[in-house]
Amino acid sequence: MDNEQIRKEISARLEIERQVREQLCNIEDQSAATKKSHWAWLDSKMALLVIGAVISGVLVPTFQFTQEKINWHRQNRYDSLGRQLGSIRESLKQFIAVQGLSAELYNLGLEIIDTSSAALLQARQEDRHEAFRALRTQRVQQNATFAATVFFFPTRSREPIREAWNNLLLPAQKLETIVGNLLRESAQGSDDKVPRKPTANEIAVQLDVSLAEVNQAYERVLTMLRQQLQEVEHESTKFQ
Amino acid sequence: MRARNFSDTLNIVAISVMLCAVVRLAVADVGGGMGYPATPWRIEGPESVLDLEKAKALAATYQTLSVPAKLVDEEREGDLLELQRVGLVPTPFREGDIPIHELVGKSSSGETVALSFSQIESFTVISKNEKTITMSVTVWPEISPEELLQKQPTYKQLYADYRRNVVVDLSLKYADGRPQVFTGEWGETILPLDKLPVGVKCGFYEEHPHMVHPLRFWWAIPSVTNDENYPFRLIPKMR
Repeated sequence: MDNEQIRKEISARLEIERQVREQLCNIEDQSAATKKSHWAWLDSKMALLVIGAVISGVLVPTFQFTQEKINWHRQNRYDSLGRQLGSIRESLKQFIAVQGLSAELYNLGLEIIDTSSAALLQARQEDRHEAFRALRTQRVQQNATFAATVFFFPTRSREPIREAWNNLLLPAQKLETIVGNLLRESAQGSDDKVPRKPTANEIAVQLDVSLAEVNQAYERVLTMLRQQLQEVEHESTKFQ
Repeated sequence: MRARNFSDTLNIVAISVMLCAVVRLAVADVGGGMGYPATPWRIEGPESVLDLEKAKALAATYQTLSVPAKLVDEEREGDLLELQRVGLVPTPFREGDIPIHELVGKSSSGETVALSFSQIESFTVISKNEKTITMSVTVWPEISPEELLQKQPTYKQLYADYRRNVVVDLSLKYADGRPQVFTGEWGETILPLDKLPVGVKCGFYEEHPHMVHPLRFWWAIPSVTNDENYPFRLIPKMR
């Protein structure tokens, strides 16, 4: 191969290379032009205006509305729990008043047992009967007042509370009956028709036993009520 | 207010002490009542040993067992669960099953031991295996009705002197294979013996002394209850 031929080949190759470079440049320019055309509209003032309108007219109000809605739900739940807490505290107060009446009945029974003089016992007989009748009426009313407040407790706890409450009514009724019997016997004096009269010790122990049973049943209900109060208090703190 | 002389200072101290005493009395009596001793012998003591025997048998059915509440509910860490009128029953409970009010087992020498709930202060689990549980039982008051009637101890003497420890092996199951469980008056909670972990202490006198049942204290004869140290008193519960 002579020199002339080599030069020709080299120039042919250089020519091919130049053409390839030109084509490549054309392709890059074309693709750049295409890309620019997709987003070019964003540069326009109209587009900016529309985007601004969408953000300030739709997105911001939607966000604010959602935020308000969440706050409103939160406030509603908090207010409702606040009202429930108030009602539960009131229920607790009514329940303690029930026990106050049992304590008064017990004290009335103790007074009869502790009065050793028959003359003294007779002298205050009418007052005691009056007090007993008043306590009995109050007890029925107070029981009803408390029973009505059980609705304020969370649904799942109502049935166990009612059950424990019914278990308290039984010894409380027993206490009332014992005090009633004590009053009647102290008014009638000794009755020989009764085959075996309970001794003074047996009567006093019966009274104490009924108080102990009232105390234990009361403790069970009180524990449940307190537990529910704490749970609702705990829940309400989540919404503060 | 400034004290001008020594007698004024004395007066102020005396008034303060009186006020404190009045407040203490008011707090103690907040539930009403006078705090009579909780006892089956409220007006008069037992006339015979037989009276005491009867009261002791009845007392066994009125005891309250306090156990750590976490044994039945893991969330109640630190609380005590009180099983009132506690008894041992097989589970599942069937018609005709009768609650037992004593711990029946074998002593280390192999003798059969029956410890009535009316004479147990507490017990601690020492060890257990698949079949048995070993307990160290504190027996109190370790006194017979005859001795009680004869010696007429005060509460302080009874508390200090009449106590002993017995190690007893109890079977975890009844003869028919049903597990033994502790259960209370209301039956809503049961505590199987095999759930008692080693080291746990359960007591019969952990209840508040004003929340007790008077029929529990068969031994609280007048010589015991007349002692001002006697803690078990009946006051209407308020708080």
